[in-house]
Amino acid sequence: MSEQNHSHHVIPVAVYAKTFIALLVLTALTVLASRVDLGILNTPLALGIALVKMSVVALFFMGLKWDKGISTILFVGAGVAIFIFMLLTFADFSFRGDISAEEGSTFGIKSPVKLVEPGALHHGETSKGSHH
Amino acid sequence: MNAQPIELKKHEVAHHFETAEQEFDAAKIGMWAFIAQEVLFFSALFVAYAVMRFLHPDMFINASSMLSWKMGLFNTTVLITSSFTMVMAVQRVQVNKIAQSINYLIATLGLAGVFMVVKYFEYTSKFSHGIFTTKFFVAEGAFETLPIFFGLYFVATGLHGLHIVIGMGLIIWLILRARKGEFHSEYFTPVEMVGLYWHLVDIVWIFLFPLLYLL
Amino acid sequence: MSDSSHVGYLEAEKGLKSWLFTLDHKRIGVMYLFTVFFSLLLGGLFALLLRLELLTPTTLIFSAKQYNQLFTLHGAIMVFLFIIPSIPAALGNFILPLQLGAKDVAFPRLNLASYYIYVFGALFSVFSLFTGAVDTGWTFYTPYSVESSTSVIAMTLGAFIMGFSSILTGVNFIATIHKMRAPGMGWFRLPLMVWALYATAIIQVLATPVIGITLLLLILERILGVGIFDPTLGGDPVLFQHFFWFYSHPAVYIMILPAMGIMSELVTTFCKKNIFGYSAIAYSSIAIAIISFLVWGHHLYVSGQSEYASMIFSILTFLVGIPSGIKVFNWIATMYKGSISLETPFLYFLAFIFLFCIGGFTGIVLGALSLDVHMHDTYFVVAHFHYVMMGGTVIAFLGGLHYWWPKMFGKMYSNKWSKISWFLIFVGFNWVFLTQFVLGASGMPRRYYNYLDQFQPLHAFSTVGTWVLGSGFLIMTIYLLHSLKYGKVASANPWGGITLEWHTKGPTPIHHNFVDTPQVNYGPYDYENVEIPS
Ligand SMILES: [Cu+2]
Repeated sequence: MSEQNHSHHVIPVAVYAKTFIALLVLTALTVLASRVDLGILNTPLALGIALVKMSVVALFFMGLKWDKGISTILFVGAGVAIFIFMLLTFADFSFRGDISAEEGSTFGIKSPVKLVEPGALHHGETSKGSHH
Repeated sequence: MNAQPIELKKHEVAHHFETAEQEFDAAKIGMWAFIAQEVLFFSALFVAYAVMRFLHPDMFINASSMLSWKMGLFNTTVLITSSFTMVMAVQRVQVNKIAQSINYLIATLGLAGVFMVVKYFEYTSKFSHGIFTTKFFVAEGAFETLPIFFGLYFVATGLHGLHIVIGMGLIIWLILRARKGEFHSEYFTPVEMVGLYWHLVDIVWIFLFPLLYLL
Repeated sequence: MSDSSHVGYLEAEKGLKSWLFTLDHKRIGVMYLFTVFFSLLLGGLFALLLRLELLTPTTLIFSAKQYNQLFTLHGAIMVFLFIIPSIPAALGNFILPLQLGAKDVAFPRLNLASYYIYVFGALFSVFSLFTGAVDTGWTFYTPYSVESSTSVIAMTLGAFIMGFSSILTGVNFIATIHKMRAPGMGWFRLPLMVWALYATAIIQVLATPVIGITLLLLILERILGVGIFDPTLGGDPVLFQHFFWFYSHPAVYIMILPAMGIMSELVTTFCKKNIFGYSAIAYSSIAIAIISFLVWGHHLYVSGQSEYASMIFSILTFLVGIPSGIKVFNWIATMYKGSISLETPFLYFLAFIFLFCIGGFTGIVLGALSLDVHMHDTYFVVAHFHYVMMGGTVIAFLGGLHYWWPKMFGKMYSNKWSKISWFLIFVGFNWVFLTQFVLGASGMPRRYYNYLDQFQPLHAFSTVGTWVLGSGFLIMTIYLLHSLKYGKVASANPWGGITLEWHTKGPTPIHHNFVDTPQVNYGPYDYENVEIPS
C-alpha cells in the first residue's frame, strides 16, 4: 500500500525555507487585514488566513504532503469533529427563544404548562412548596 | 561545544516489531492520533470563545484592543521561526548532520524561551492593571462582562504556554539523547515526533493570535 | 524459544514486581480486569444501598445529602472506573494483539502507563469519598458543581486523569490495528471485535479530550474563575452541558461498541457458522462512531436549549437506530441454521440481544422530543440507560469474560454455577429495571430519596430485585475466584473458536504469543475453510 523505502526521502532545505517565508508573509497579511475595517468581513478573513497557515504548517512542516493517508484522515477528522462541535452548539445559541417568544399566539396549541403572569410568580411560590 | 564528533549508536528494533519501518510507522500513526486528541482538547476553548463572542460582540472588540497586538505579533513570529528551526533539526538528523541538528534544537529551545518571557511580561502587565481571572478581577472596564474575555484569555494562553513548557522539556531530552549519538539517519523517531508536537503547538497559536489580539 | 512455548504468560515470570512492571499486554489486561471488576463490585454495593433507601417513601438509612453523594459515587464509579475501561482496556488489551496475530500492542510502555494513569485517577476519585463525597451527580452540571461545598475538584480531577488513560489506550489501539496485523490479515479479515475496538478507539481519541478540557474548565472555574459557565457574569451554564455531552454521548458508544464486538465473536463461535453480513457489521461500527458525534443535544431538551436545536438533535438521534438495527438483524441471521450450543457465554449473548433491544427502543422513545419533555429526569430514563449500559455493556462484558476466561487463566469455571448465576442476573436485572420503566412512566422523578406513597409498591418490588441481581454477582465472584485455584484445566480452545486467539498453543507464551507468526488466508469466521484448532 506504500513504497517500501525505509530510507525516508529527505525533503530539501529550500522547501522548508520557502514554507517559512510564506508563513511570515501570511502573518503580516493577518495583521494588515485586521488593521483595515472591513466590517463583518474581518473575522472570516482572519480565520481564512489562519486556516491557510495551518494547512501550510501541516502539509510541509508536518509532512502531510508526503505522508500516508491515515495521518491526514486523523488530522482532518479532528477538524471535522470541531466543525460539528461548533455547528451544533450554534444550532442552540443562534436560535434561542425564537419559538417560545411566540408561544400562546402560534399554532393555537395549548401549552401543557400553565403560564403564570410575571407578577403572580411570587404568590404562587408559597403554595407550590406544600403541594410537592 | 561539539569538539569531538559524536559516535552514532545502532538502534535496536523492539522485540514486537518485525522491521524498523513498521516501528517507525506505528509511532507516526500513534503520534497523529495523539495530535488529533490535542486538537480536540483545545476545541472546547474555541467553541467557548465563539459562543461568548456571539453573546457579547462589543465587549470582545473592546477587550481584544486591551491586548498588545505588537507583542502578539512578535510572539507569533518567534513561534513560526521555532517551527522552522525544529523542522530543520529533523531534516539535519535525516542526513546525519547531528551537530547541526543539535544546534537547531538549541535554537528552538531558545525561541521557546523567548516566547515564554514575552508571555510573562504580557501577563504581569495585565496583573498590574487588576486584570486577573474572574474571581480576582478588580479592573474597571467599559463592559461588565469583561472578565469573561480575560477568563478565556488566561485559560487558553495558559494551556498553550503549558504545552510550550512541556515541549521545551521534550527538546532538552532530545538534545541530551542526540549528544549520545542515539539519533541518526537510520533512527530519528523521537526527533520527528517531538517535531510534530511542536508544529501542533504552533498551529494552536496561529488561531489564538488573531482571535485574541486582532479581532 | 522452544521450551518457553510451554510456559504460559502467567507462570513465565514470578513475583509481584514481574506484574507491576510488566510490559506484556496480557498481564496488563489481567491487571485491568481485576481493578475493573473490583470497581464493579464497589459501584454495585452503592447501588444496593441506594435501592435499600428507596424501600420506603420516607427516610430509612440516609439523609438527603448522603443519598445525593451515594448516587453520584455509584454513577461516577460505574461510568469512569468500570464501564469505560471494562471492555477496551481489560478484555481488549488481552485479546486485541492475539486476534491480530501480533506479539504485543504497538506501544507496550504506553500501555502500562495508561494502566497506572487509570489507577492514579481512580485513587483521586476514591479520595473524594473521604473529603466530602461529591453530591452533584456524575454529570457535574454547573452552576451547582461550582457552588457545591463537597470535593468536586478531587472527583473531577480523577475523571480528568482517567480520561487520559482512555485516550492513550485509544491511541495505542489505532496504531496497533494499523501496523501489527499478521501477514495476510487485510482489513476485511479482521475479527469484528477488532473493528469494534477500532471504532471505539476513534471515539476515545476524538471525544475524550473534550471531557478533559471541560472538567479542567470546571476545576479552574472553582479555583480561579473563568466565567463562561457563570450566568451572573454573562456566561451560560448550558454551555457546560454542551461540552459535557459532546463527550458523554459518544462515551456511551465507547461503552456499547466493544460490547457489540464481543457479540459478533460469541454468535459465530457458538453457532459454528460464518457471520452473516460481515462488512455490514464492520461498517455499522464506524457509522455508529460517526453518528455518535451528532446527537449529544438530546440530553438538553429541557435545559433551555433552542427548540430548533432540539428538533435537529431529535432527528439525528433516530439515525443511531439504523446501524444498531443492522447489527442485531445480522446476529440473528447468523444464528439461523447454526449448530447452536448453549454454553454460558452464549447465554449472555442471548441476554444481550433481548436487553439491548429494550434499551435501544426506549432510547428511541426518549430521543423523540415531545415524549422526552415528559419523560425527562424520570425513572424511565434511569431504566433506559441501565438497559443499555448494564443490559448491554455489562452483560457483554460478562459474556466476553466467560468466553475468554479459559484463555486468560487456563482454568474452567463451574458450568452449573455459571448458569445459575446467569439466570439470577438476567431475571434480577429485568425485575429491577422493567419495574422502573413503569415507575418513570407514571411520573416518579429520578434522584429523589423520598417519594409519594403511591410509588411504594413498585419501588419496593424493584429493590427486592436488586437482591436477586446482587446474589447473581456474588455467586459469579465466588465461582470465578474459585476456578482460578481449583478449576479444571481448560484446553487451548474449549469452545471451538477459529479466530487467531484460539490458535495459540497451550497456555499463551509471554513474549511472542504465537510460537510461529500466523499466516491468515481466510476470513475470521470462515468455518467452512478453517480447521478448528484443537
Ligand atoms: Cu445521549
